[in-house]
Amino acid sequence: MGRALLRRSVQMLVTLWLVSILGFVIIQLPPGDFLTLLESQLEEQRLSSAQIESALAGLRARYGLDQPVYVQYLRWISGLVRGDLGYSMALRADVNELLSERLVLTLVISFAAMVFSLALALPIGVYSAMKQYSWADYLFTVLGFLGLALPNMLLALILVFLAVTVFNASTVGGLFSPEYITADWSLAKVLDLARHLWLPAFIVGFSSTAGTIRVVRAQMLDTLGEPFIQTARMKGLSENRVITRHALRVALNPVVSGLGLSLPSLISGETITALVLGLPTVGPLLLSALFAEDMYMAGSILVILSGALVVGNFLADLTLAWLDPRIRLVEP
Amino acid sequence: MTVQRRARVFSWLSVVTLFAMILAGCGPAVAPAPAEPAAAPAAEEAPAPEMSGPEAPMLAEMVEAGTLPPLEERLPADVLVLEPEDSIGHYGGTLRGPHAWDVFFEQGLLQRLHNDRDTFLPQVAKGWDWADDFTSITFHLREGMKWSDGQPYGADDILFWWNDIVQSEYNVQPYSVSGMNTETDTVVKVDDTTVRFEFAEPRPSFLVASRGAWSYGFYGLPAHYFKQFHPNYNDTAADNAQEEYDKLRDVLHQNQWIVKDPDAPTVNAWKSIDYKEGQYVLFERNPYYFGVDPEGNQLPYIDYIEGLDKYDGDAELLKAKTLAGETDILFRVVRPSDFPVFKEKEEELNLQITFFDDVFNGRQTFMVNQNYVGDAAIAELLHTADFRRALSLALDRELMNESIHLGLGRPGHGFSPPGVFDEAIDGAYATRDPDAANALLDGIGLDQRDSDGMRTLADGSSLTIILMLRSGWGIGSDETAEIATDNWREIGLRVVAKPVERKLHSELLNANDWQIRLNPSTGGWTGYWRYGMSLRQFARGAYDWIQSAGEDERRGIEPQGKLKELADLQQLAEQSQDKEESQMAFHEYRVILADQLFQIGTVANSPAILIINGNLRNVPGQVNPAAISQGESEYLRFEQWYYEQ
Repeated sequence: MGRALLRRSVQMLVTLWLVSILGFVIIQLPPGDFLTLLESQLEEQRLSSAQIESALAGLRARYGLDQPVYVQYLRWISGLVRGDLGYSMALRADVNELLSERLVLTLVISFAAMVFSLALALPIGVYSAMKQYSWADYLFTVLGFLGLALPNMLLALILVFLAVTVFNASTVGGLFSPEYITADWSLAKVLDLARHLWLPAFIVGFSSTAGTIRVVRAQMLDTLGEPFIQTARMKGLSENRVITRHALRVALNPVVSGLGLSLPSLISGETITALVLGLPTVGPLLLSALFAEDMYMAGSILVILSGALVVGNFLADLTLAWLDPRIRLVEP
Repeated sequence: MTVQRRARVFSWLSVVTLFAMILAGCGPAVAPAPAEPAAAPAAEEAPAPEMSGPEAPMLAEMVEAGTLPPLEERLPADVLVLEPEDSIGHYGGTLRGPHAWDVFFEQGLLQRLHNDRDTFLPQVAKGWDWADDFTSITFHLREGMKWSDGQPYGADDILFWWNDIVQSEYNVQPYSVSGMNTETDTVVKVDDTTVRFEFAEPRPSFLVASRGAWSYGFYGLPAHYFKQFHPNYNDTAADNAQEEYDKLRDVLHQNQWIVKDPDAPTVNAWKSIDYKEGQYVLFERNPYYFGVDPEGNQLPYIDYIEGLDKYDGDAELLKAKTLAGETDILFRVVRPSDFPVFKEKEEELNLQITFFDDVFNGRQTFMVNQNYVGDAAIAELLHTADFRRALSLALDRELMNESIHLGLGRPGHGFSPPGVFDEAIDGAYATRDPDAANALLDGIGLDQRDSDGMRTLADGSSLTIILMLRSGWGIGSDETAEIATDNWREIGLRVVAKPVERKLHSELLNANDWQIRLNPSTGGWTGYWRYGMSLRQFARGAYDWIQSAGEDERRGIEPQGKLKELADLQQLAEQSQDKEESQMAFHEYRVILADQLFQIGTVANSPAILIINGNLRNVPGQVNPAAISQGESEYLRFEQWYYEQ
């Protein structure tokens, strides 16, 4: 077990390293670099070409853009392993400073969305399987697929619009009330966050609910027909116990291993939702950094998010092993 | 002319010192009073009972408690008297919701542009004198004026900005200053309240050129505050000095410190007291603000401004926030198509919807590249006036106006100043006439068609023109492109709309590698060339040629024919020391543009829309007509807004 964990950890590090290279290269693929935009801005200010040239040369040297790509990469990655995420050229600030709280909020939203999605999908999946082809089964299926089909940002817009016009909401968007935005963390601030959190969690989680419902439903249907379930029933166990202790536990395997994989979609869903709802998360920063080819910031965000995914996958595997003795990691 | 100019400067100064008294007497050519002189509130009019002036109650309490000096010690000897847009206001309240950056955008300039967009009013400077030959301008500052922390403000602050920042040896990137050449021009301190900007060549358009967003360093920086971060004033080791300065430069970049640094003092009406990156900013009134109303009440009226920082929150969310009653002001993102939604909620939410003449008169405008570097046959077409006229004649501008602007605009080019529609200029080739367009195309050798019925080049090879656009840039870009390509197909022209992302857009622009493109607006304002109708928009090579006149090696392509005429007129308009001559040159420029259609406008006079809390007063445009820009807050004058109780 210990060696397996070690092997997994090394694999994770290698994955992250590959992600950092790929991310860094892909960000630089489009023509031009960060300074291309700056150049056109300077031209609009009617600077002479000599002035523009010296401006760009200075910045190029400062940000290391005059170096070959691998030197830029080494510069950035060596800072990254020391915990220095680099400097945002577009926002002119340290990436660490820009990201710290946003990162936490992104994870909070993604986690809340996952919990919401599971809390909704598990009971519905089980219920649909037990009452297969009932009207409730069809209703939930339709709702689930609606969630799958509706793009997050459209759902967000619809909900915001409904909130304002139908429910006369007095506040929309954001994660905090104004009085808490700059306040230090306190119980009141956490409660205020909770009051705002449900909407993005719902929007982000809703889309992945459908898939989970279908998986749980199919697995439950499979499992319910297995001989060991009949045995359990014959032993006179209550139906509740048969379902939760015997059937559901087995049916959960693919859901849990799917959790690790669903994290990417949760996080990208979060980006789009954050843009529409004006959430102070990583998403809007990532998007603007990509547009501006602000590669140190974009690269750092990508690596951090990938790190979250890799770790999430790892945790999912551990959970799976704990849940199902059959697939405990074995020594090779 | 010089005598006139001097007389004008003299009158300017009188306006400042005797503003209230001589209001009725000063000529309209000097400083058109925002309100009818007769309507100016007389001093004996009883102040509203709630008003406890001459300072805000929250400041009076601080004075009482001994934490703030009394008002007369805080105000400069020469205060700025701001004639209210409508009426004397009350103190108090919070303005919720403008973008934080809008608040200071209009603030702090030495001079500010009046609503007529033609004359300048004093701001931080109480007045200025031009040298006869426009090679220098002397600004007179206010005696006894203070920063928001109570430290004296004066010439040294401007000199700190100029000597230690603009001219700093540590600048890796030259500090650009609109309207000036930082290599040849200088700023000189005459005495503590007098500063002279000296130019290497006459710069008659300096005030116009310097008033934009890029120039807000002009009134100086709080030297006593920023010196602590400047290597010249610290014992920083030599190898850290550059880094220290780079950091300071980043803080000063686009003056974001005014919003982002609650510790830094300002001279604005409000100062930032709380800030959260990307999300939120809270401004509080500056107890040392140098402006008063005609009754001597210190401005601003409103205590706090609560704003969003710039990049979180998209347009739809901002609108929803207004519909939820969460904000008191909304503009820039408001499109004509949003109008019905707000109109419906107008009474329930107590909104006030105001239409303005937009500073950028014309909306989506097609630019036809005169320096296209690609296919020679297409370049030839783009150079042909009748081809451009045919493009214009084919457009269904009525449809664009109805579907994009709800009919609030007027079909036409929008080359004229805001609110003006000159039939001869804005209406030239602007009435839909496909037959005439077809005839023009047939006349220039495009009379052959391929099997699809589309026109081919004279040699029979197929013809496809690319229309470049940035999706979602300005109001109705995508719809305009769609309608236009349909219209052009009807006259047998195959035009393909190609949306490109922002950076690629600017690369293609730089390389002159585009044929026709869509730009969100034309110019239309006398003197405002930055986004306007400049050659830069459609003949980049010619523009570079003019710009590089003083350089060793000329760039660009020498303009010929009509482009040469336009180039000369632009130069004359910008550099003429005679206002009449300058205006005539602008007019002539428009006439040529309307005939040649290097730019093809679509809808003109579509209003800018401002939606505000119905209790707000003294908002420009409420009583007197005003022009603002859909995208800028420069004319809003927040400091005299107040809530009616």
